[in-house]
Formats: sequence, structure tokens, C-alpha cells
Amino acid sequence: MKIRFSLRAIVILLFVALYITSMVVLNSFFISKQNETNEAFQNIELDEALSELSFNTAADSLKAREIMTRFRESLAASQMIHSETQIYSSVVLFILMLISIALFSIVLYKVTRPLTELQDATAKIRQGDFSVNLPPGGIPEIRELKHSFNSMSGELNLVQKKLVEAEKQLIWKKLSRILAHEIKNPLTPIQLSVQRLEEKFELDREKFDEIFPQAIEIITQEVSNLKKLAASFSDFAKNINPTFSRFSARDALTEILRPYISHYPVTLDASTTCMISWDRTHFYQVITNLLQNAIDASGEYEPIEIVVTDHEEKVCIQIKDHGKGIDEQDMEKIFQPYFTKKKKGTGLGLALVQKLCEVNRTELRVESKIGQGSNFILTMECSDENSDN
Amino acid sequence: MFQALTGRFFSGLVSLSILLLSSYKGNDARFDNFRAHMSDSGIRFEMQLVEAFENDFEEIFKSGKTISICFDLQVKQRNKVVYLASFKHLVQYDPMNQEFTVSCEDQHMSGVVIENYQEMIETISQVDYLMEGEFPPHLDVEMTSYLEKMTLESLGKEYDMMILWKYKKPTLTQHLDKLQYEN
Repeated sequence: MKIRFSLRAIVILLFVALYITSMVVLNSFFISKQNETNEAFQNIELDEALSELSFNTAADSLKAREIMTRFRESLAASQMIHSETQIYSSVVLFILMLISIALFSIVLYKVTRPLTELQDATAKIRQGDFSVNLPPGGIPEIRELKHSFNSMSGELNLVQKKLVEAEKQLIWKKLSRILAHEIKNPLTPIQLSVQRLEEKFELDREKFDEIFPQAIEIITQEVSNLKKLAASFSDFAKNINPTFSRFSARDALTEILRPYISHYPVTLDASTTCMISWDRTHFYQVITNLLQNAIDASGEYEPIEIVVTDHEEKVCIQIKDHGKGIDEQDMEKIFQPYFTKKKKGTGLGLALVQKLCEVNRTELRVESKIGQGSNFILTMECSDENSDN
Repeated sequence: MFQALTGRFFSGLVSLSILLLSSYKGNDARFDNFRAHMSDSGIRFEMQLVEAFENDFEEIFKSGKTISICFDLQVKQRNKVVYLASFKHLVQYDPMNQEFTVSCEDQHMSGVVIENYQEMIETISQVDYLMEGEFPPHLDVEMTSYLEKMTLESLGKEYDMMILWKYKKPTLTQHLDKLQYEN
């Protein structure tokens, strides 16, 4: 395991190492000097010298004893002072070391904390949260830096709000235009049919009876188209909350493809039995949408292949057609809402597919060449038995 | 209680500081060679104070002052104190004759003159105490030793001798069964 020290830890460790080393060296120097003084004292050997002398009077002898006692007491005192110095200096040094480490750590924390705050705030901004605001305080340079940062985030926040507002307006305008256009399309044949019926009803009753079923059929068809349009918009606008369940991709695809296989040249090649974790309804919507697009893009006898493979704990579902393909310039737009090249499309199908893939943790990409066809590729995690949905 | 805790904290602090930041040796005094046996009049405890006087003591013993090594004996039975005793070993040096006068209260030894420094150390390190009387079969014995403060009148100063033992009182705790000390 590789241990990584933070800048703060490195500075504290360096400080402690330097501090202890310098203090111990200094202490050792003074102790050695004190040892030399003690040795010099002991080398005097006064008591041995005095004991060899002969004293004539009791007073001389008493005086010599007094001198010797004082000398011996001084030596003992010197020894005690030496021991006291060694012990107390190390205790004081230790306490000072603890205090200075504590103070140094507090100061270092005060200096580095704003940098950590700044780092966190920058990360939030990177994630798109411009409402971040650093608390005031710290040393003057840090205060200045925080002030600049807060101004910057405030401006970014304001710009983001304006952009969101502008985008909303743009979307509404676009949506209104598309809705108007989409509603107008079926309204025209309805209006024409009604006018024709009215005209024939007044002028030619026989012809009226003849065209009546045909006109009703047109009106019914266009009303049905209007309903479909409303349902598509509703689906796209809905908040999508997936209800994950675990199932076999191969079995689900076999089930979905069953009604198509009898009418279209659709084949399924599934070599894997991997389980996936998806919302079943969403899975159905995505596959039927992509399959319908493939059918729409293909000629009558052009085959459509669904291939399921697995590799490194991932399942890959490909929906390949050999139809007309997609223009390179349209490739970027196909997932945008309301972009369509079909005469009767809403432009919401692929946008919805992309949204459903996102909420079901699936990567969606497309490969296409004009005249050769398209390949929509869904890549998702394999779901083992213990996976948490 | 508080004093004991403070003492332990301080001796711990001293030991840690010396270990980390000093080359000071001092003395790590402790009791060893404990023996207990029955005699006619009671139980006799024998033990030895080891590594107590090896460093920095020679000049202190030769100061001419009386150096007191104190011993406290506490005997308990089921956490109840049944016997308490205190005694001392005393040493005084005569610089003119270069000899030590030793007294050991536990051994009823008084005013014994010893010339050799090592012999003096061995004598004062030996504890031999007779606990007189009748005692219950299971006992807990605790022996603690400490050094009294030394006053140097000529310098007008008092020194805490425990500094030479790094403020740690050597203590021996022993549980005794009757069979054990009868043998």
C-alpha cells in the first residue's frame, strides 16, 4: 500500500524533525560542558590530600574537616544539579515541543483550510453549481482571494440563470412552433374533408353519400394522428423514474421481436445469457423505437439484425439495418428533440430513447454510413445476483 | 489518590522525555530476589533493591550528609490492610577517615562501619524484615521504597533525591499462600 502524505503533514513532520534535532544537539552541547565542569571538580581530590596531612591541633583538624565537608557537599550539589538539568531540560524540551507542534499545526491549519475550501468550491463550480459562496475570514491575502472567487461565482451564477431563462424561452418558442405545425398538419385534411362534405351536402346529395365514408375515414385517421402526437409529447415531458428489475436481455428481446419477425426480415443473434438491470417498460420502449426506425429506414427486403454480446462484465445490444443511413451532418442532431426527417415523425422518438438510456445507466451510440445503413449500440453493465439496483 | 495519579503522570512524563530527548541514564530501581519464609516469631521477608545506586550516587553518598533510604511495607488480606511498617537504611560518610557508617533498621544493624563503597551499596540494598505475629494463610505483600530529601546546610539548599530514580518509586507486589511461605 502506498502512503501519500498531504502538504500539511509533510510540513509538520519536517518541522518536528528539525526542531527535535536542533534542540537535542543544543541540549547535548550544554550537558557535555556541564560534565566537563563536574569532572574538573572531581579531579581536585581534596579529601584524599587533606586526609594525608597531619594536624597538630584539634582546631586545625576541625577546620580541615569543615573544608572537606563543604567540598564534598559542593560535589554532591554539583551532581544533583547535573541530574536535575538533564531531566528538567528534557521535560521542558518535550513540553515545548508539544506546545509548538500544537501551535504550528493550528497556524498551518488556519492557512491551509481556506485553500481546501477553495479547492472544494472549484470542484462544485466544475460540477455546475455556481451558487457556491466561500465564508469570509482568514489572512488578508486569503480574504482577497475569497472575495474575488465569490465575485466570480456570483457572476457565473447570474449568467447561468440568464442562460437558463433564455434557453427556456427558446424551447417554448420552438415547441410552440412545432406544436402549431404538427397540429396544423392533420387539421388541414380534416378541414378540407369537412368543407367537401358541406359542399356536397348542399349541392349533390348523391355524391355526399359516396364521399361520406371516405371523409370520415380521413377525419378519424387524422384525429388518431393528433392523439399519437399528444401522447408522444406527454411521454417526453414526463419525469422518468425507472423501476429496475433483473432480467435476461436475450429473453426480453425474443419476446419483443416476436410480432415483428412474421412481418419483417428481423433476426436475433444472442450469444450471451447475461442478465441486465433495467426498467422493463423502458426497455420495451427503447427497443421498439429503435426497431421501428430501422424498419422505416430499410427497404422491404433489407435485413435488420439484433445482436447481443457480452464482454468484460458488459452487455452490448446492436440494432443494425442496411437502409439509407444517416447524413454525417445530421448525426449530431438525431437525439435532439423535434429533429426528424420522417414525413410523419414527431422528432421525439430518439430523444426519448436517449433519455431512457441515461436513466437506466446505459450508453447509447450510433454508427452510420450513407447508403450502407445504421447501427445503434446500447452498452450496459451485466447485473450479477448480488448487484444493488 | 489524586497525588498518586499526579505522581504517576509526572514520572511517566519524565521517562518519556528522557527516552526521546536525553542521554541521561539515572537509575531504574526495582526489587528482586523476593523470598518469604516462616520463622518462630512470624514471617520473614527478604528482597533486594537492584539497579538503584549504579549511576550518579557516589558523590551523593560521599557528601557527608546522612542519606535515608525509606521502605514502606503493607500487608493485606482480601484488600484489608492487616499490617503496616516503615523502616529506613541510613548511610553517612566520614571524609576524614573515608569510611561509611551504615544502619539498617529492619536488620537491627546500627552504626556498622564499611570502607568499601560497593560493599556499602550491597548492604543497604538488602532488605530482611521480620513480620512478627500470627497471620492468615493468604496475604498480599506490597513493599515500596523511596529516598528522602537531602539538605545541604552549607549551601542552604534542599534536593529531591528521587530525581536520581527518575521520580519512580520501586514497588514490589506479591501474593503469598501459606504453603508457599512455610517452605
